Amino acid sequence: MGFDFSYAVKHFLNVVQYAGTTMRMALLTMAITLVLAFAITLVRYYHVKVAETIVNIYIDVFRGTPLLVQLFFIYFGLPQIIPGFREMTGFQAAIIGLTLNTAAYMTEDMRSALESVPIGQIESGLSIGMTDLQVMRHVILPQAVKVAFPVLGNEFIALIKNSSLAFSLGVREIMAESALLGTSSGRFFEMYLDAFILYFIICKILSMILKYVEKRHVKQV
Amino acid sequence: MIHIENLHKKFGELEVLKGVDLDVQNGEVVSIVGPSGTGKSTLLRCINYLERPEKGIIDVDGFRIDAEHHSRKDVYTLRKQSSMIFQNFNLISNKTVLENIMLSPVVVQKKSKEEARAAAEEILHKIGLSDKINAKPSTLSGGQQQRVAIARAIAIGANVMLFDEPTSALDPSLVGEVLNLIRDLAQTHQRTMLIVTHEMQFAHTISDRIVYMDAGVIVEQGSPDEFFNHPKEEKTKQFLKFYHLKDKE
Repeated sequence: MGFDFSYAVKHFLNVVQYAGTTMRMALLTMAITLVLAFAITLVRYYHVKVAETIVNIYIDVFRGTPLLVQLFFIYFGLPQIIPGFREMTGFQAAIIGLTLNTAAYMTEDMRSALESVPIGQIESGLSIGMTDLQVMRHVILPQAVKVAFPVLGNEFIALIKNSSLAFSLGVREIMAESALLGTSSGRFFEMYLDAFILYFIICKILSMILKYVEKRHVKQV
Repeated sequence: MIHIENLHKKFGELEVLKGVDLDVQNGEVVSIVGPSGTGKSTLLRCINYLERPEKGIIDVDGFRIDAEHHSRKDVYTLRKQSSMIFQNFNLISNKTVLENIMLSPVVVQKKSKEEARAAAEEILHKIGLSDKINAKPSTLSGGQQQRVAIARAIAIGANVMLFDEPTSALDPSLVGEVLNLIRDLAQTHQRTMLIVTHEMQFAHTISDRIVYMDAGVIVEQGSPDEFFNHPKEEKTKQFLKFYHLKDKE
């Protein structure tokens, strides 16, 4: 069959059209994950009884199993047991699965960012009369955010890559479109090369933006 | 005013405070001296409730807390009665000098930013650090950082100041400026001060009273003259002998 360069070029834009779906999925997941992971992190940081145990089991389970299994379990498995999930679209299932998976990793990074703030500064915050919450808000968080920023940025990039698994739930995004065009024409090499290049461009640009922001705004401690 | 009654504190199996009683009058300057690891800092940290004692009464400036029965709110209230100066300064590293000093007045006491700022500027002027107002702590020398930490404690306006080895982490050349500031404070303000220190000369000249702690209890206390020149207890004599020897080296 041989390599048809023009075919790859011609259909690159077809694939690019679905980058929007990929990005929407990644951004939505990231937003929910940040909130969820932060809540989990606080539970662990303040050692909230019972909740901490539950949260630790969840983290163990989601870090100890493959993302693809988690996605299939949520999309194909759960609806058979819980009728409420039958209305769920592949897009929604992907977001739930990616969120639960990413949050299980992200909470660990958030925790080490919180713990990077020296205990002495926390004590001095308390000693000047602040409550635990005020110390969190005025002393710990502003410093922890700077520590966490680069790590969370990398997690976002990893999330974009992981979101390609959503095609297996029938979500039409970059990967799905490439597979579809590849199957219909038999030109898998060209189409997956397009996906290859597109993912690379997105991730590269993002990581450059993150580095720039980090340099400009974060590294001034 | 500080009133401590039968204070007990353990770290695991190790009993650090074995029933400490201590009274400090309004405006009195009291230094706590003694060998390392005898609970001096722990006592100070208990008064600020950075350590939780198992048993005992702590009364700071009229607010009384019983270690065995108290709420979280009681702890917050107790902490507001005093301000603490730490060995390692513990300034908030991402905030400027000014922001560090304004933090408690604005966040805890809910003063307006203008008011807190004016007060902070005045304190900085008095201690000679006006030019560092917008500096980050990491750009200051240890001595300057500790002076800012003292400025922060002054800004809180608490009657009681607790100094936890304020010069132990400093280069010898920087000790003087911090001690001078504390000395000025002791002389010009009517504040109650409790100072844990290893600077015997300083303790001698600044204090109304010296408290000697050893192995979790107060062994002896008295005026600087009584304490340094006429110690009664054998342990105190041993301790002072060690320091006199050190001075001669």
